[in-house]
Amino acid sequence: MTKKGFLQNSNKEAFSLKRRELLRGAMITGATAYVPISLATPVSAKTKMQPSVPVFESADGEQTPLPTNSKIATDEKPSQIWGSDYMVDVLRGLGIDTVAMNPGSTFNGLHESVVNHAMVTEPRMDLITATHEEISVAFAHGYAKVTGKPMCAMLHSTVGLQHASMAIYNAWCDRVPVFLIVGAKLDSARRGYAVEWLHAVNDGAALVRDFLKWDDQPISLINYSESAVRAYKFSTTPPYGPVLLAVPAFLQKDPVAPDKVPDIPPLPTTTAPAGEPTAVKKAAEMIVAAEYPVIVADRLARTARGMDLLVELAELLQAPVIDAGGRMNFPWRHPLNQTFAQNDALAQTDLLLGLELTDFWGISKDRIPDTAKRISITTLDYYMKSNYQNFQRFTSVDLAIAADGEATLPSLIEHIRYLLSREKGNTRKKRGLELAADHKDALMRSREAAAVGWDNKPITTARLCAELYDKIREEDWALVSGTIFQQHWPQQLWDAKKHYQYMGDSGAYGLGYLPGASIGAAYAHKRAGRLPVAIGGDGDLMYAPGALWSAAHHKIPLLYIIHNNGGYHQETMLIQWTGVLRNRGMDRGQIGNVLTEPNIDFAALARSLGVHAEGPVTDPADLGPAIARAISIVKQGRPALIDVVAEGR
Amino acid sequence: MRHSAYLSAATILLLGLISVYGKGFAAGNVDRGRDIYINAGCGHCHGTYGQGGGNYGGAGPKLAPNPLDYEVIQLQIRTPMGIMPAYSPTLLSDQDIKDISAYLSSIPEGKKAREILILNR
Repeated sequence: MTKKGFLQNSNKEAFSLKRRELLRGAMITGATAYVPISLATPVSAKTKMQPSVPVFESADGEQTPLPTNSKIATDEKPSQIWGSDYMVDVLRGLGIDTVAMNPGSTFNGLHESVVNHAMVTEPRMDLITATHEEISVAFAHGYAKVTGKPMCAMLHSTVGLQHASMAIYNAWCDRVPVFLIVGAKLDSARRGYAVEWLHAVNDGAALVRDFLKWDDQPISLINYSESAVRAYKFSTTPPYGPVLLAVPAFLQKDPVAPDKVPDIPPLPTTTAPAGEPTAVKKAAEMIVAAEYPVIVADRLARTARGMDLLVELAELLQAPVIDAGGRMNFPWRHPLNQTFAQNDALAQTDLLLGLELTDFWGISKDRIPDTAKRISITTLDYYMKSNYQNFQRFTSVDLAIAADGEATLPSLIEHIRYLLSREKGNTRKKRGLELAADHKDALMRSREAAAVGWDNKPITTARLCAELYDKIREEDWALVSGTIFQQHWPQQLWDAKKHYQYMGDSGAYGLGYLPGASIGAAYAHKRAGRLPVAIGGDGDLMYAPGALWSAAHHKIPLLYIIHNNGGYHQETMLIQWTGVLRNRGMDRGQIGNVLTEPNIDFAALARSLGVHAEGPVTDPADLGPAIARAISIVKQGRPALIDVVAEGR
Repeated sequence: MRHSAYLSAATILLLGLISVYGKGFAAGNVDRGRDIYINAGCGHCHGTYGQGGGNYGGAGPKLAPNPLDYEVIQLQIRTPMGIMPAYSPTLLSDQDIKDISAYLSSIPEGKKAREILILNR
C-alpha cells in the first residue's frame, strides 16, 4: 500500500512509460554501448515508481535503512562496475522490474547488486522476499499471468532450485513466462568450505530442463547478455514458458572496468506465430459448413485482445463457447457461453474447434458424435517435450493448425466473415436465441443448486462463493485462484467481463501454487488498483504458508479465503472410491488425508505472519460480515485471510 | 468432465426407472442416513446436501431435494452406471441405503434461489 491510497493507476502508467523510455534510450539502433542505467535514466518525479518496500525507510520487517549519503546510490560516474551490476541492468533493459528471492550464497553478488544498485537507481527494481523458492517462482507465475510479462525469480544453486522445481513445472504446464536465475559455483578453485561444495553442481539446470523452454550457463558477460535476451525472447514467444540462466558466482563478483563492459543487445519485438493462410481458410470453410460448430477454448486468451476476438468469432457464428478455464477466455454471462450446458452442446455438434485446448481427448471422447469434424489450433503442435506427459492423450483431428490461437483468430474471423456474407438466410440468429435461452436455464439451475443447504453447516461451497461475490461485485475485482476445487461456482454465479478478472489455475495441479501465485498476481493488480481475491484450500496453504508473511511484509492487498474442508478432499474421495471398488470399505479413507486433530488454526497462523485474519467461520450467517470486514482491510492495502469451514468442494 | 456423458446417461436411466418401480418408501433413520451419506463419500460427488456437483460436468448429479425413490437409489448403488463404484451389501446394507434414502428425503426444499437476494446478482 502506498501513501496515495488503494485505488490508483499512476504506477502502471509510470511503469510502462519508464520501460518505453528505457528501451528507446538504450536500444534504438542495434547494439548499444553500455551505459549504467543509473546514468542513462536519471531520477525523475514523473517516472518514479513506488516500490512496495521503501528503500530508504524501514519497512515492517528486517529492512535496514541505507545511509542516504551512500556512494552506491549517488555515484554518478562509478570507477568500477561489478559483473552483477551489469547483469541486473540487462534485466532492467528487458523491462524486468521485480525480483523475488529467498537468499542464497551462490547468487549473493546479484542479490547485492539488486539491493545496492538496481533498487536505488532508476528505473528502480523491487525485491520480494520469499520464505521458500517455491513461493518465489509461484509469485512470478501469478505476476506474469496478470501483466503478460515475466519477472525474475533468483534461486540458490542446488537446494534452492530443488525447492523451486515444482513451481517451475506448474509454470511450464500453464505456459507462463518466468525468468529464472540460479547461482552457480562453477570454479572449484574458488569454492570454500564444505557447504559450498554441497551447493555446487556442474549442470544444475538438468534437474528442471524437461520443463524449461530454454536454459543456458553463460561464462562471460557477453554470453550472459546475449543469453538473457535470447531467454526473454523465447519465454515471451508463444507458447510461453519458463527459462533459466545459471550464472556463475565469479561472473557476478568480478569487477569490470567501465570501458570494458559489454553492450546490451537490443530486444526485438516478438510476435506470436499465426496459422498458415491456406489452413486457416480451410478451417473457416469447415466451420461455416458445419450445422452446429462448438468452440472450446482453454489457454487461448493470452491478452484481453484474445477474449475480444473469441467474442467476435462466437457472435459472428452464433456458436456455443465452452471455456475450459485455462484463462479468462469468454465473459461468464455471455449468452453464448455454454460452459455449464456443455454436455448438450457437445452432444449435437458436428464440428469441434479447439483453441489452445490442452486436453482435446477429455473434451471430445464419448462426448461428441463420432462423425463430428475436429479442428485444433494450438502452439503445442509445434513445441513439445517428451518426458513429462503434460501433452495429454493423443486425439486425431481433421485439421491441426500449429499456431497461436489468439494470433490466428483475426484471419480466421476475416475468412468466416467473408464466407458468411455470401450465405443466404440466417439460421444462426435462431441458434443464438436458443443458446441464450440455454445459458439462462443453466444459470437458473446453478442458482437453484446453490440454494440447497444455504443455511446449513458446514457452509456450502456455493454459498461461500456467492457471499464473496456479493461483497466484491461493485469493486474492480480479480479472482486470482482457480476454481476446480470449488466446483467452478464462481463461473456459475459471478459475472466476469474483463480479461484480468480470472487467470486460470496452477497448470500442473501441484499443490502449493496458490499462496505464492496469488500474492504475485495481487502484487501486479495492486499497480492497477484492483481488488484481488483468492479462494484456496487448507491443504494448499499448508505447503507454503510463508507467502502470507511476504504479503504482509510487502503490503500486498489480497483477500485470501481458506476453503477449509479439513484436508485433502480429492484424495479422500479417491481412497474411498478405491476402497469401495476393492470391497474393503470407506471408513478408513480419511487416514492420511485429513488435517484434523488438531484442527489447524489458520487465523492464528495468518496473524502470526502479520496478516489480518478471522475464523474459523462455521455459521453461514457470519460469512458475509466477515468478508466485508476483511475487504475493508484489503482496501487499506493490506492482506486479509478468512478461514471458512466448508463442505468438501 | 470426461465422464459426464456416462453420468448424464445414468441420470436419465434412473429417472426412467421411476416409472418402472413406482413410488418407493424409505423406512430409514434420517440421522443415521446422514452419517452414512457423509462417511460413505456420497457427498464428494453429490454435494453434502445432495445438491449435486454443479453443471460443469464430471461431478455427481443432484440427489435432493425430492430424491429418487429408494429402489432406484438402491439399484444405482448396487449396479451403478458411470464411474460410481458399486457398493456391495458388505459395505452398504439395504438398511444403510434406506437410511440414506431417508436422509435425502428429509432434505427440505429450503429457500428458492429467487428468494435469496445475493443469488440474483
